[in-house]
Amino acid sequence: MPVVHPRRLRAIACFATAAVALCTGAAARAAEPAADPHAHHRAMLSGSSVRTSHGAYAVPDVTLVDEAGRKVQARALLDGKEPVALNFIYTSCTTICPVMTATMLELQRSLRGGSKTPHFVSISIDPEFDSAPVLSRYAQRYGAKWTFLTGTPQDVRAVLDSFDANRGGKANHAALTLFRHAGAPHWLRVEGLASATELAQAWQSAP
Amino acid sequence: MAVRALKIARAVAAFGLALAANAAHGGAEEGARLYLHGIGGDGAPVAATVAGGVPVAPAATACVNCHKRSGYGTSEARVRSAPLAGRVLFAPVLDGARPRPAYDADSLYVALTTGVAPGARTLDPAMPRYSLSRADAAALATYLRGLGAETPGVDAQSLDVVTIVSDTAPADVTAALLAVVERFVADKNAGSRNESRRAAAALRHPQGERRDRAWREWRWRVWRLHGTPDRWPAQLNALQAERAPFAVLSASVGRDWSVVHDWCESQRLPCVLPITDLPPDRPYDFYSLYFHGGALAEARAIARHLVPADAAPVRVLLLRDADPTAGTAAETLRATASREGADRVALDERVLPASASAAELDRAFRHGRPDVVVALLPAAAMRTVAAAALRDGVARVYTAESFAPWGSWSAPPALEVLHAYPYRIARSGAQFPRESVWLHGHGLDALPAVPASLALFACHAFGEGLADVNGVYSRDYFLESMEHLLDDTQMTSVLPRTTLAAGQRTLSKGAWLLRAGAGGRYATADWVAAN
Repeated sequence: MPVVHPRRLRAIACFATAAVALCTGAAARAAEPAADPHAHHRAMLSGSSVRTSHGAYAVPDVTLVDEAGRKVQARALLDGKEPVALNFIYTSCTTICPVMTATMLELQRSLRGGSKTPHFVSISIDPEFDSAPVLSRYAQRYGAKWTFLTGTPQDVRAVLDSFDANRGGKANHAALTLFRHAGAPHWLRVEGLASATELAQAWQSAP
Repeated sequence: MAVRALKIARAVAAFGLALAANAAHGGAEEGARLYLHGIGGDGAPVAATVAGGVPVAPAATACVNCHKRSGYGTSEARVRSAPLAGRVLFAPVLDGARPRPAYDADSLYVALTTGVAPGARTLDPAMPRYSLSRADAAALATYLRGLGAETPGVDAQSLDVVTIVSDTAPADVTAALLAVVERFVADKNAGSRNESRRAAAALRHPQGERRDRAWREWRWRVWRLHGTPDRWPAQLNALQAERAPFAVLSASVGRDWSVVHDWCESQRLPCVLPITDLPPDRPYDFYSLYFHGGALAEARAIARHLVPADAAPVRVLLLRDADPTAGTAAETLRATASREGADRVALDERVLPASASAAELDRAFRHGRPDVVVALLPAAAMRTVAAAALRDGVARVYTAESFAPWGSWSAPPALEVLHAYPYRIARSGAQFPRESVWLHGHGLDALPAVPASLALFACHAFGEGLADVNGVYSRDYFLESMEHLLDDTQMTSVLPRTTLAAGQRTLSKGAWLLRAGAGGRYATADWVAAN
């Protein structure tokens, strides 16, 4: 009877263990002092398989390319004064990326007209295949009107590394959304396939 | 966009119909439409939500996206999509990380609509919850029973592999390919670790090592195609009728490969890494896997190098001959330049006769008054072109590996030559060090380096793909395994950058633009994406 390859089974066992930990939510992380300003994030999302944390990420000084082929300074876009909602996809992905793009679209709709609307950005983790025209077609297919970024493999990898979003081959990529309010020192990191509602809540309560 | 959607629909529908034709029961055709497209029995898309209620389009929640064409599932993004192939799904899983009772049509309906699997386990939030009818679930069950059925070309001891060659291919490429594959297969079958004995022993013991039981001897044959390409499908049908292979391990049929590509697609036969510089442009096909995009990728790379986003307008003289490949490459270059360069490129295309005179060339130059020249011409024509360019004050000429290979002619020093080159480059030392070691060890140093190295990589990739399926000899699963293993591979290759993903079928998606330097070396190298 065919079962999963041992190599994959080991990987799955690791993920299954992690998934169990994630499902038990707050218990996955060591208990933190009551002064922790982000405890409410964890409490809010502890019922789902989504995990939040925060981080300070130093974006490298590289030039990426958007879906229209225009050059974009990564640092100016992501370190600057604008609020940002960022995720990572690749256009050939058939598993979670369509869901993540649909979710980001729904999030964009729900936040439209609100007091603080982030600049939505999706960075491709497959810059070799995802050239600007390919990204443009993907955006059109989903009706996604936001910034999609690609670039040279080295530059994209440098940006992924800076956000701790680099998992080597594409098979290991993980659902990740990052939020930053204008001028905030930290990003809110949301790991896992969050719904648009969960992401909206994360955005509203991010520092 | 509509044309593209039609292409996708056509490719997937053809597959679905082919599968449905093999179905034992009625309902499999409806099941195929559900599995591949997310369309229910009433013809309407089936609504689905993911991750706790996010509505997602039916095309994106169709089962095939995660559970794959083979039905054996995948593991990606921390989501494990379980095997749904009938013999797995409708049998209990007694051991391993997730034991469960066997599914049937009823429990399948419950799992798909509520997310609760047999054994009362809740399915991962990444698994959609569908709004579908019991009838749809029954149709899907029928389809799944037929999925993952036995594949031709493999039995308990051996696995049939063919390499396809033709009279029309360059003889040195064919010779290199066959020499390398023959030695590789001989090594593999030599059983240096008593694989055949271990396999036999493993079959006798219930606890026998899975990997040992998965071992097969490769029965390798060469399919030789004769005459013109229009006669090949009939020959291929006859060869397959004699004995159907599990898969094709590379091929050398030159630029007529698209005939074989289409035939393999119709037969659902994997074709792993044929050596050709004219892969057809079929981005939604499944069964052929390519090293690189060939002449068309080189054309796209040149077009993109000509028109970077912030560049000034440029006048281009595009010179080619009557070679159909040059015609297709020119078309691709023109389309890329116009789509991405907008109004920055003024392109004047000239088709030159076989022995264009200097006067004809001068006329072409004076008419166009180009800033740069793109020459999709063989080396024999390049000396005249270079001379004309210099006479007419054009300082830059683009060439491409598929037409005038690197090193096949030398440009005058005053002329800047930019050459589209798909293979690995080396500042100094061996260009393909790892391959050279293997070739030397097998007494094959005299073979031309590029085709020999390509052939060796094809053999390695094929072997790794077979190892990865670990006894699950499904042709589709074999290709799906390679989508993962070739993305992050440690195997060295004659290609500088290889990546792959589900649905992608070309390993290297760009080319170097080499600026020719002194002494036949390159002065600079820019990598240009060509997808």
